Amino acid sequence: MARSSGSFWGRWGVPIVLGALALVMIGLVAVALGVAVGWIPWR
Amino acid sequence: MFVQQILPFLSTAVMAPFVVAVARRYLERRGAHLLLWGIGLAMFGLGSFAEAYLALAWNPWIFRIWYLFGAALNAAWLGQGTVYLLVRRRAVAHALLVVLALGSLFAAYLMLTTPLDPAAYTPGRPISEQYREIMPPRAPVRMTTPFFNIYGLLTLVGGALYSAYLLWRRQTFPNRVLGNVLIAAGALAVAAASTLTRLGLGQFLYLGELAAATLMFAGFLLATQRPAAAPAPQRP
Repeated sequence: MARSSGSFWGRWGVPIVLGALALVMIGLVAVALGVAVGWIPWR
Repeated sequence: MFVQQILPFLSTAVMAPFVVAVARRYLERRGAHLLLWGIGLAMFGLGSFAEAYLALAWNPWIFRIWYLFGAALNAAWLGQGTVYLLVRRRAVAHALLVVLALGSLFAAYLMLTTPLDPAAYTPGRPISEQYREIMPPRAPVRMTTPFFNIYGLLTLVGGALYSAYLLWRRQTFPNRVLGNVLIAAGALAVAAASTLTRLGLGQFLYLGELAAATLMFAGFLLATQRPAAAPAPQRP
């Protein structure tokens, strides 16, 4: 894996993508928890 | 509406070879994680097939299969496969599997005892948009799905992201890094679509499922790709 390549995205692209996906996961878990405990109304 | 009817057929067409590929890998290599992924993917495929069927005709058993396997259980069983792959203490993985199996049996019981209203079914309308009218309001089985899906999200997506991070840190197998990213993205696509469905926006579910099936299959193929063989030594 060319982690040490010179460009910003070559070095940080993977952790940024992983972090973004983790944020989406946390958001979806939060919504699901809100639905489960009744804080978020669902149909 | 025509596209909405086609999407579940496409998802089923993607899921069938995906299930076969995972089953073949299990038969070659064994491993509880592969077996559980195969079970989870088979549930996903059954859910897609049930959607395709319900786009054309009503059947209460197909509806129950759709809700139980397609909406409630498949993510959690896929995630359980990842638990077996990543958790080193087997006793923990076994205990979680027992809880998941008992919870799944309870959800199946609730689904089987849920009265359905066939008169509320409209052919040609996506089942994700009309299932609320077919099931009673606040049906107990619907209370269970967020718990299965939270477990599935955390284990399947969290496990794929964790694996991708470890592989990236080690600077080995870039194909596996990308494969795990695709698996995580696919699982998030269907999770987001399921969440929107829960909030009353069912029109995105079929697209999310097709995206999930395609991304996860591509991710699986990439992650299990054999590394390129080292070049043969040159003879002088």
